[in-house]
Amino acid sequence: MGFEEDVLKDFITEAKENLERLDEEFVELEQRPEDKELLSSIFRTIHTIKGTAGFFGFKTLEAIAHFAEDILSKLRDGLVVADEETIDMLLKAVDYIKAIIAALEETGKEPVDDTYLDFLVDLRNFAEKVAKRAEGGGAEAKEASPAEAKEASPKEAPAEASQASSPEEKKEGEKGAETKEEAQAKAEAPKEEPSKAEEKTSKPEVPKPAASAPKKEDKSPPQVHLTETHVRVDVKLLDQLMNLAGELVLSRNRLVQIASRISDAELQNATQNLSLVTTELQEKIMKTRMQPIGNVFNKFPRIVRDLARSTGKKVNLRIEGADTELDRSIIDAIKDPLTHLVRNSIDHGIEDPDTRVQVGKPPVGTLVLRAYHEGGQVVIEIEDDGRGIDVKKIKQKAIEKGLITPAEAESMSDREALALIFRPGFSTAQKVTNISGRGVGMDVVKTNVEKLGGSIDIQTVLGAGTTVRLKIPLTLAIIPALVVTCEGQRYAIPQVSLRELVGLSPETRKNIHQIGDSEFFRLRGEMVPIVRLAKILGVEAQPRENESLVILNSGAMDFGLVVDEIWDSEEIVVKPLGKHFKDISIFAGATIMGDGKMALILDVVGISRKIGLKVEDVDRAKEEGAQAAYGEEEQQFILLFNVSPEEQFAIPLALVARLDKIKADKLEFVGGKEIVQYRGRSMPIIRLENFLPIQPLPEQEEYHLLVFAEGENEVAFLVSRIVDSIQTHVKLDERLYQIEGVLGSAIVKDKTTLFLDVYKIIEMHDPNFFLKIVPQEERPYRVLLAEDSPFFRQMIANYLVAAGYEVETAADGLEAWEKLQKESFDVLVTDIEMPRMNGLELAKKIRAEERLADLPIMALTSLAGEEDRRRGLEAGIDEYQVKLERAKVLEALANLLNRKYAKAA
Amino acid sequence: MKFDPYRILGISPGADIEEIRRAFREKARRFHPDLGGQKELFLALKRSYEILQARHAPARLEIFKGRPQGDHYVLSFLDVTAREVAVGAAVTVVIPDKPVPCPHCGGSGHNPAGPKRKCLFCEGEGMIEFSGPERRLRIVCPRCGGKGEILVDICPKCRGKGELSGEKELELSLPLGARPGDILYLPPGAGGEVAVFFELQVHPSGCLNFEGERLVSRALIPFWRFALREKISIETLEGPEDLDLPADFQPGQTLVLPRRGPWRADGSREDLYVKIDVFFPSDFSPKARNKLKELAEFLEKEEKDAPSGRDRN
Repeated sequence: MGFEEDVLKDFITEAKENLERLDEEFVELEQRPEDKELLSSIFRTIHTIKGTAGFFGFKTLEAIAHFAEDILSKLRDGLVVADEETIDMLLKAVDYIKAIIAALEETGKEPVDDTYLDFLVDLRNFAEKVAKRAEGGGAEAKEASPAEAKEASPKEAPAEASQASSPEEKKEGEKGAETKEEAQAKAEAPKEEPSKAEEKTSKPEVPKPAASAPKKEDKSPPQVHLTETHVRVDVKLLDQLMNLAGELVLSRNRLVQIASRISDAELQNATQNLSLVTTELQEKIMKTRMQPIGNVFNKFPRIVRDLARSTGKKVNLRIEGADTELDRSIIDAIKDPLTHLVRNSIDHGIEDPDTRVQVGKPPVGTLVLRAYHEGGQVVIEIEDDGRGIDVKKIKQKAIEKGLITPAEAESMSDREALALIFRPGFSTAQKVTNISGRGVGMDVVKTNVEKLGGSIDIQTVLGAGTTVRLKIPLTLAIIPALVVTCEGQRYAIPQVSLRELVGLSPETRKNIHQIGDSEFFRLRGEMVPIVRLAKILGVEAQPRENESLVILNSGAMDFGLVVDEIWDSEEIVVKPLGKHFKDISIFAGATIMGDGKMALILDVVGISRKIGLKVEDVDRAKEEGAQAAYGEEEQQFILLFNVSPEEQFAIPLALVARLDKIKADKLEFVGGKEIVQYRGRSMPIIRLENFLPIQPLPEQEEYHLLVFAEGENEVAFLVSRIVDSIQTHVKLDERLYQIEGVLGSAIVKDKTTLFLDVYKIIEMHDPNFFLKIVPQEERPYRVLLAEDSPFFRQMIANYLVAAGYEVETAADGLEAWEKLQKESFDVLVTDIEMPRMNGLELAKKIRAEERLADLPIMALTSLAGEEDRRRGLEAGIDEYQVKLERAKVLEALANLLNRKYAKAA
Repeated sequence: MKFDPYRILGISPGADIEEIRRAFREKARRFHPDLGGQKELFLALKRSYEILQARHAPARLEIFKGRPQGDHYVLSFLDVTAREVAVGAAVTVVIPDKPVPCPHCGGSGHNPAGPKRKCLFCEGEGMIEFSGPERRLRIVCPRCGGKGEILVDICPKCRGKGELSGEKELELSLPLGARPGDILYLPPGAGGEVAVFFELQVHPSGCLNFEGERLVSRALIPFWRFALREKISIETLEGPEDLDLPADFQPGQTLVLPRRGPWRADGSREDLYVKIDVFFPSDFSPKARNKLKELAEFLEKEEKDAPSGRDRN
């Protein structure tokens, strides 16, 4: 990336300058080998090179600088004197460093050449020799005068070392014979080195009695330990091992299956054992590929500091969970996206200190980089407390760039607008800086993250900050999956996307609703779109008794997949599909099952795209639903249908028990009644043209049925076509059509639509259809119904009348109040949200008046929450019901009246 | 399993240093290798004790070499003056502390002032009913906590987390020997929850500033005082001080006050460098101008009269 290139260039320039100076200083050093100032300066230069090399991950360079620094530290601290040999060695080290820098300048990479490693081994051994000498010298120093010690140590120390007790000497010998690999391994673990070096250098300063010699031995083993426990291994080899482990898992699975068929105790035992070992082997190999994300995170302190400085912002960086491990191939792949996101946060997110103070924030911004495990995935968050993303600006920008039209922008939700950031060629920066806003931004980030099977999500609050959340799989190789079948074939679904399973029995099938062309499953009150796997795969599906519904999550939304059978849950080894299949978006790969057969892995996101479920649409529906529930205007799901093609009718969807289709030849005319055989029973059919002055139903091969149910009774409207189901606020015009069975008319989807009174029509068809549950005395109970929506008012009044009540209506609370003053009623049924005086106010007013204090009050709302109930109870409402739940309303009303008047009697 | 010093010492994580010490002594007596205890166990005890001791040691900033790393850490910066760095002064640092519940949403993470929607889990009932063969069970809805409705918007203050990261101030001494650009390290436990790295951002304090590794005191004096080599006043770490300019001192040269500069880590001191900038007024009163002219003529004449020339160093 450009930014690191810049830093690298700086580093090389700086290093070259330093190295020139080093040459001069070494010449000087030969003249004044004990000049501390000079030694310190050389030490610092080498130290800087080491630090920067470490930052860029130049292992060889870092290692050479490290050992050179080690030697220099001994010189600087006066533990050994720089003799010709030492200076020679150091000069050689400088030459090698120069060579590497030159190579870096040319290729950007460290040279791969054995001579460097050979030298590294020499240098390392030499550094150890010097260290030994330093220890010897130090021990000497406490007895002899310092000056003597310094003179004596260089010459005498080697001799001393050879005389030293045998264990240490042997180790020395072993170290000498060390292979290149070991030296490199050591070079790869320089993190632990400094502390050890400190330990050594500090040792001579503390006078130690002679008896402390064994303790010294205690301290040295870790070092030997380190060199012997780390081996350099080619990454390719690890990848191959991982692949082999995958194959082994497959073979194991197969063997386990065979063993379970042939019940042989010995074979079982052996298989079990193999199974255990395989699992462990697989885990261990996986571990070799795991690296802490700190390998990436730890580059950011420097990047953040530099960015903050160049932008004049003040930023605190907080790192959380740098030890979180994930597959190394993934670590490599997220480096660039992360860098980009961090730059964005500082450049676009965090404000400059003055602005922050003006809006009441602390002048220092905070940037958090956080990683943690969550359900088999790693979540990485980049969080800033900056200005947040201005959705309006994004829309404006998108319009300017021609990505969307102003009309589209108008209708776009915030979430959709945020998604614009990920469109190619989008950048919100007012001016292009050298840090970000080059326009090669978030789309690349998103693509890279999705390539890894991950997802990216932005959460932002204008003025308060932004969090970008990446979800990345731990590993790409072996994943837990749910295996399902469809027409005898098995398919694997990654368990990450699995939400829940629903068995489709005749009972649960009732929750399936056909709306327009798509099916929905009502899951705890939420409409989840469902789709049949057979349909997606394009295979001929046999009708089945028992199917299963797999509820899946494709990033931001849920949908259901109907499958024949749930087979098993299994660890599967992901094998990529061949290039001929790569354009088939519904498959993510393939795997081999225990019986040796292949199964395709379903791509959940791909399927959701294929069935055209737009995340934004479903979200918008949800948002609107949420707003509608509490908004002043009540919204209803309306089912639109035709009898004859010209006329459009509507009924509330909630009243319909089922939607179905029948063939024309299923219709029978028996005993003066038209019926249809439906689910083993005869169900009466209502032709609407028989009750309403409308165009008749044309002859068709197939009709749609709108089935209504009341207890055991069922009846169906016969219609020609289901147009759609929409959610809308009904503004009913009652004047135009004053016909029994029609509530009114409204324009829906550019067509005049008649809203039908389902209850009235059914009653006209069969007066005994609805059960009468009115607690009848000598006279019918008088009900005052207060409801502002004409649509609901008429519908509710109709079903109350049908149930045997005498109903008086009022258009709002005030009108109801006035009527209560003039006439007497047995019960008040009232809406809550009404103009002029709402239901709660009305109830309170009633309870405050002595004459009406005992009047039973029932409230009807489009929803009934516990909070509403509580508020209602406080206001004096006896009963709460949901408007469209006719049966419940009637039952509750009867109970309420019984309770009130039985008590009174 | 992670190495847990508290577990090894058999004490609760909230234990204070006294308790830690007691637990260590007691266990050490029991498991000392000289008394037949296991060596590994004793070493583990010792290591635990050392870790906890360090954790309970008073907070102290250290100079950190290398790049910040660790599982959790914070990279911050310290704005300090050159003088504070040089003398290792006490400074106030702000470090992250335990998170505090968000005052706006009371920890719920949702905006209490924002829109609500019906809880779909319990259908707005607040309660969920299970009907079994024998009895019915009503439980408070786990999704909405019995409210029957759910707040839709996330809290704008804490952005859904329900808590804000806490901060606390600590009075700490800058370590001797620190220089501009160095990174200072505050270990976890010593003061805050996580390790904190501070980048030293050094600003000049008055006339004192670091130029490279050197601490330089700059003085601006008018040319006539320089010419007369009069006493000048300079800023030192110990305060203002009068200084005799050496008779042969020329502009551009640097004066060195040995061992009057910043402290090193070992307690010794570096030198203080004094740089003198000469100031030439661009505007003189006519009277001053005349006098100056007079003086110039005089000096030029004197120079001519002494053909051997004066020693100008």
